[in-house]
Amino acid sequence: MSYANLYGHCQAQRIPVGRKVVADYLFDVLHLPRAKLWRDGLNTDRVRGYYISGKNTNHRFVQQNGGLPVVVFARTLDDNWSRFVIVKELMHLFDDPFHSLGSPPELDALLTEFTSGLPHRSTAMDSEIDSFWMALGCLCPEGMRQEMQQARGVSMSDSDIAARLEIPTQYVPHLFTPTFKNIISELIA
Amino acid sequence: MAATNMKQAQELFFGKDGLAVNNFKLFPGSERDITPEEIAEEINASIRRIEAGQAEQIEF
Repeated sequence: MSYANLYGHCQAQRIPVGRKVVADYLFDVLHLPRAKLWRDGLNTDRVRGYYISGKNTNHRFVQQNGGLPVVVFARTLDDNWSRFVIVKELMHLFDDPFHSLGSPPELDALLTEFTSGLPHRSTAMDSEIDSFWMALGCLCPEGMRQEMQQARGVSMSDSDIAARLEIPTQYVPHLFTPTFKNIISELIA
Repeated sequence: MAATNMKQAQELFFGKDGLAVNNFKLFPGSERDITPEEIAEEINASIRRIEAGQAEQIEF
C-alpha cells in the first residue's frame, strides 16, 4: 500500500493519465479510503484545492462525506489544472501520521509556510512538497518523460508537452529538472 | 473584536464541536502575496458552501 505501487501502475499508462486511473488504483487496488470529490467556488488567486479528513461523525460536513477524506478543487480551473490539483491532493491518502496535520498550531504553521517562503519547513509542508512530485510522477510515465526530454526545445515546446500530458504548462520544467529522477527514486524507495 | 479567520478555521477544524481534523493539505493559488488569514478565510467559506449544498459532489 505505497506510492511505489501507484507509480509502477502509472508507468504502464498511455498519456494523458486520467485522474480516474489514479483514483481507481488507489481505491480499488490499494484499498485506500474512497475519498469524496467536490467542485467548489474557491478563489484560485488564494486556493486551488485542498484535502481534508475529519473524524467527528456528529459534524455535518463529516456526515455528508461518510467520514471519508475529502478533496475539493476550484470550479474555475481548466481540465489540466483540475487533474493536477486532484491527483496531487489524492497523494495525501499516503500521508502517515507524522506528516499529517492535526492541531491548531500545525494549521497556523502550514498556512504561514505557504505565504512566508522562510527556510524552516514543518513535516506537513514536507508532505505538500512530496505530493507535488508524486503527482508529476503519476501523470508523466518515465519512458515518455525521457522521450520528451530529447524532444524538448527541438521539436516540442513546453506548451506542446503540457498539451500531451494535459498538465499545467508551468510544471513542465519541473519534469526536466536534473534532480527529478532522484526525487522520484526517494519517493518510491 | 471579531475572531480572525485563522481562529475560526482552528475552531472549525479542532474545536469542541469542530470536524476533529486529522489531516489537511492545500494546493495554493496563483497570488504570491497572499496571507494566512486570506487562505483561512477561503477554506472556511468553502467548507460552509459544501455544508450548505452550494458545491457539487462529483465522481473521480
